[in-house]
Amino acid sequence: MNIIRDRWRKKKTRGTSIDIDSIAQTKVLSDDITDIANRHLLIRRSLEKLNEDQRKVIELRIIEGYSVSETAGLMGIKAGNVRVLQYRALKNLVIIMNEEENHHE
Amino acid sequence: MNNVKKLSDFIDSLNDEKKPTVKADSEELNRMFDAVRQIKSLKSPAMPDEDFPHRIIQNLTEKNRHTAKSGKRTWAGGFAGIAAVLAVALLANFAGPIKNSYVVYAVEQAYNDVKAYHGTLEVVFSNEAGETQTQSVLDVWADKSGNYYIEVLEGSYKGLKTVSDGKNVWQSPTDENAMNVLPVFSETNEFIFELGNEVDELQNAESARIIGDDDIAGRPAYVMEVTPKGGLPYKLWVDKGTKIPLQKQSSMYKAIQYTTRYTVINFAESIPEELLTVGPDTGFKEVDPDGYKNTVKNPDKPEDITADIAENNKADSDTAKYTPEITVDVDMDIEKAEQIAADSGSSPWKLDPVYVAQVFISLQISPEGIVGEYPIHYNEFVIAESNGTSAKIEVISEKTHIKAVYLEKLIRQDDTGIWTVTGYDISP
Repeated sequence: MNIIRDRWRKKKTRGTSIDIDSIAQTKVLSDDITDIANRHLLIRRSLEKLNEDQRKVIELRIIEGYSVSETAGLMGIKAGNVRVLQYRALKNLVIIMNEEENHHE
Repeated sequence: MNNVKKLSDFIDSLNDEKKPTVKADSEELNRMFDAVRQIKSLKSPAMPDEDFPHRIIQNLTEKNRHTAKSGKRTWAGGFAGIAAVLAVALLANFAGPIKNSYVVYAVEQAYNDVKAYHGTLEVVFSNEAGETQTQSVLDVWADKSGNYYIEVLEGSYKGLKTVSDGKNVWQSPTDENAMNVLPVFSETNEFIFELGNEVDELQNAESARIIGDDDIAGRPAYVMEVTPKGGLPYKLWVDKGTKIPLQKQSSMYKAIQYTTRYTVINFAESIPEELLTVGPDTGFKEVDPDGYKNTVKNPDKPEDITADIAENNKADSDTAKYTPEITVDVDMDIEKAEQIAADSGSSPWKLDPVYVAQVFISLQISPEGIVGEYPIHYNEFVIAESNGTSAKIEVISEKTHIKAVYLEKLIRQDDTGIWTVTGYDISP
């Protein structure tokens, strides 16, 4: 009986135990996913600011994963033009993303 | 290697899921590589399939239930989990519509440049057993104003020409009953693989995604799975070169699947004027495009159809068109069983009255069974009369004394109903 009482006293003193690690991990995961979602929103917003051909080449080449020749076929342009177009598109995108980030900070 | 090439190689490596070997030698290129990685993350590697969010919810529910049983309550974890699910669902919504959107766009753009086209359209049906049969081959001319010209090159209505100006439909040789026969496909008025309609349907689809590559009539094509708003999904083959749809395959429905394909297609400025001429001396007669619909019954309510059979048959007998000299006894139990078998994909030829007549005549000539070629060729049968539920097929052959075969759809009167021989005429 004394042992039980001692345990009860200890518990009362210490309070209810909580698995802090599990809460912390889940919260971090949640924050990460929120960050990813925000990041994706930023990329989307930035993509929308590119001109149509630049947006198209990025979607075909990077998001959908088509080869240069397939993208050229889909867009009706030469393979060399695809490479140049995607270079210019990404160059612009980096600038726009930086502007977007600065604007929202 | 210049930066343009480096960037392209970097993208290729990521597309091939390989570690990029190319190095960025400037801060600018490094940022572009980083941007490529971030854009790549828009694609949905975390979404193996559409059921993924549901599985997460289920797993979290089970996990929470387990946690509750063990006496631990991690409310913060629960809310974070829900937030995680919502975030993943959000990502899924972003990742979904963008996929393959530019193939749809490319099809739309390609069709915008089309003024008129001329092609050979093949209509094939197959059953669950994998048996296929070419139902018809059509010569098709169409333009964007709704005009079209269709001539049946092969099939039950060989020679039948259909012309439309987008509103009215004319046919030649004039056959008032042809409209009511086999209404599923374009031996009648219905133009089933009109490119404008296909592009519209693709644009308005619930989803459209590339599921593979194939070859249609020697042309490389993307295979797309299209789910229309309110309908069964179908497959569409899009020419990789022209971005024009070449083939469409329906879902298997009632054990039957239809495939329509342009084996040849060319683009033109307009339809030759002479093909659209339907003046009084041309043999064309205006027909009612919706006429056949009145004869189609609801296949889900066979009792309604059965109740109408007697009335229909009476009406037919009044015209005496479908009264044979010699009546063939029909066992309705066998016919019902045959209909069920056809519904499950067996004997698709029973849906074609000409084939049924051909088999009937062949068995009259060779009662022991048909070995090798049919004694009378398919082309030696001609549909003399038909209203969609009754038909009279004339036999043009000296190999048999039977000159006409009478058939009826006894069990079901829609396009899935089998034909049964009910009688025949013999030569005098």
